[in-house]
Amino acid sequence: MKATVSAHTSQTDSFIYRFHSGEYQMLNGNGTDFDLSNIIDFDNGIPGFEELSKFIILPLKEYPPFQVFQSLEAPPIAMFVIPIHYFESKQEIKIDKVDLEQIEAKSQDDTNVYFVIKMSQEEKKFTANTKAPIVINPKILKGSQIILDNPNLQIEQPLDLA
Amino acid sequence: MLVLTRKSEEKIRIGKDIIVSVISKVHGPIKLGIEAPREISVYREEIYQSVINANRNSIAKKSICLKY
Repeated sequence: MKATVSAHTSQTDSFIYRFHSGEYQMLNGNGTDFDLSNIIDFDNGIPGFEELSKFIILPLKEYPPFQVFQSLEAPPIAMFVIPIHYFESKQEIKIDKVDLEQIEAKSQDDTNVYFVIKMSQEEKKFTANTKAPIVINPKILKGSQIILDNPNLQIEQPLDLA
Repeated sequence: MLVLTRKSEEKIRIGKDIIVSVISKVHGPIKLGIEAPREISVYREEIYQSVINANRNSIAKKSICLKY
């Protein structure tokens, strides 16, 4: 199963270059304005960063469909994410009731779901973590990174940029 | 690490509300049953570890400069 997202190829090349040369903050000029009322609470952090509980998700206007998942605490880590509606594998994402309860959502339709994207510069390769999506309840701004049992989902699913 | 010997269908209680049962112990993989409160997440350790590694390897080198 392949994942395909729409992005302009030349833009993507320059995106990878900037990302790996550490120039990624230039994409948004001197700073990005965001609304403090959009901070998402992750009560248990995310795997590997259990101590972080405050995040925001910012669209990258110049590089759709990429968005930035950014911690507001130390360490101020950031990862690139893409909403799952860009992916064919969105059909495979079925969130358990227990996971929905954690973010106080009644149904999966009430959530925003994102895949974390990993990039490797050497091969100019993108992968999407479809096994462990980030799930947000936008109404109350609660989020969690869940791990799905479905064997069709992979930690590093190759990503084609069409 | 605490090491306990358990026979098939015997159990271990962790804290006041987590119970781990040995379901079968015939040759091959051991089946465990886990009863825990709904808010306790239960994962296969190697899968949780691979998500930790994936998250760490997905970190951007520099974070966006934010203006409050």
